[in-house]
Amino acid sequence: MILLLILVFIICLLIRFPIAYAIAISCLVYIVINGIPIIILPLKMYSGIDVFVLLSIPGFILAGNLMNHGGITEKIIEFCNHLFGHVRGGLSLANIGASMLFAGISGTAVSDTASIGTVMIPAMKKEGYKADYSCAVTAASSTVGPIIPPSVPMIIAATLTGLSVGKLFLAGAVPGLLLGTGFILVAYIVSKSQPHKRKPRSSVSEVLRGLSDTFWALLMTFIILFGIIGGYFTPTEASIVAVVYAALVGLFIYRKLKLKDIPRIVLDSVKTSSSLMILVGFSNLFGWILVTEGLPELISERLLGFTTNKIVILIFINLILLMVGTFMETIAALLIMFPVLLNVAVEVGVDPIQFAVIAVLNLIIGLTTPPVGVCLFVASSIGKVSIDRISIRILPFLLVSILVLILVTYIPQISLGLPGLFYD
Amino acid sequence: MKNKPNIIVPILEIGTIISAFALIFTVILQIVTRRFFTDIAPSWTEEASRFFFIYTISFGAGLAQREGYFVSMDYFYRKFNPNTKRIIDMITTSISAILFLLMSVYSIHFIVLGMEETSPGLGLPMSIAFLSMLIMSGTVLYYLLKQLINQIKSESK
Repeated sequence: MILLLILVFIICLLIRFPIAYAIAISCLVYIVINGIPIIILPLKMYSGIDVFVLLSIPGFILAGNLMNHGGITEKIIEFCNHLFGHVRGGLSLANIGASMLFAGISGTAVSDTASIGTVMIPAMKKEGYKADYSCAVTAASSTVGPIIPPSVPMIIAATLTGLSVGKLFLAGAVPGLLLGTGFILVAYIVSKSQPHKRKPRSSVSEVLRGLSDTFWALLMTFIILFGIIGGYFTPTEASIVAVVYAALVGLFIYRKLKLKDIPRIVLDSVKTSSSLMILVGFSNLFGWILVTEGLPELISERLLGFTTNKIVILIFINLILLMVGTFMETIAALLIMFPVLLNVAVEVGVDPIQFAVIAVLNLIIGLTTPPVGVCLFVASSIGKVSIDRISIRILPFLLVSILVLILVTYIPQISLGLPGLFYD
Repeated sequence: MKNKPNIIVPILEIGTIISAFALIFTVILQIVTRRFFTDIAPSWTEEASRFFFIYTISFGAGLAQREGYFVSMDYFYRKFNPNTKRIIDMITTSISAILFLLMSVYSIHFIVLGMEETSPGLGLPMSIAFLSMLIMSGTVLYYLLKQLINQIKSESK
């Protein structure tokens, strides 16, 4: 029965059903064949999204969009240009730096690619950078978005397991910084062999002015993070505080946001959130079927029957997640695979918080690999370059992602150090 | 022929914006009461914010379907010729419409079930909350059917 469920799901994916509908249709086939009442469709959809912590997802998406419309993207990019512009390949370094800062106000990679890419890709092309390289840098660096807090995949992982969102946010911080630093190193090395122009070094006052312009955006990340860690807000409350904060900063400090723009931004954020929540709702049903069929136990038994060696099991898990992430959208893959593999990881002594970071890292790598790397598609449409060309130029950055994944997998302190410092 | 004004979009947009602002207001109220007046936020605020959240999502679902916000995988689809693509589009839209038709019909059953229950915090009949599932599935169905009609029309041309 489980094979039929998975087969229908794969066929639906191949013929371009939206992923959420592909999940629902495979569930529907299973339900009908097994004579389960169809009322389970709306019932599981409702129970899947009636979870308090999920309220934070539209909140963080809206806060990020408000900040973006408030003009923060340009200010972040300007600041990073002051910081890195004088270095060879400075614009690619600025692109990565901007993505890391932008990650602190948005929770998804795609919004990072779109926001930073729209400004940086044309700017890099204008300065003589090759279009495929500009797109590759943008797509790769945007993958720090779902790791550095706030992170939508981390909220989903928390919803699935009841783990603390605050701990998960903290657990992603160091791996996110490692990833970004690794990308900066690669960009720097690549630039040494390219005739990229340097800009004159910015004065200290220019750098400080840039910092003061981006201060309000950086402050939002700290309010979210320390509001949750300090016990001042729940993650949902933190997301709404971020919304109010972003609106006030955009309206009264940056003054680029207009009151009349707010309903449109709210609508846009809700549409993105609705498509995500419908995916979450249908995945709740899919997960219920997998549990009913005993798939998590089956996978756990098979894997642990083969070996109980932690290193080998983690290699298997990483390979499975990398493969799934290559062919499936991050959130959908997380919703389906995370609960299934968590049992196995915990059995061999992996901390669930560390495992959440491992899973998210694995799945975000798929955002920049063909055939379904969403960030590649967004960057390619901005830079007007073929996916194939970007896919080749992105390889050194992918190696960094794999290296960070290996480090996070085998050195638990990288992900558990910060949560341990603040929570225990 | 003059196009009839579409009232569904403004209704969904207004519903989305009202629910979203009500959600924001309720959560702010929750923070303010807990921080400045009592140690524990009133229990109804969490329940109300969940209700508003589900309504926000449900009103937004139809709009998301209308504007193609749902992510799909088109790597293999791109390899088909235009005729096959058109046939596939009609098949996927029809099957999706059947899915949401079933969702809509069974949402009505769900609402009926909810008439016997009340929510613990607000004391409201759960059927009010479950009505959101009908709004979600009904509006997605509406836009899927519109999409199907357009596909059939362009095919017959």
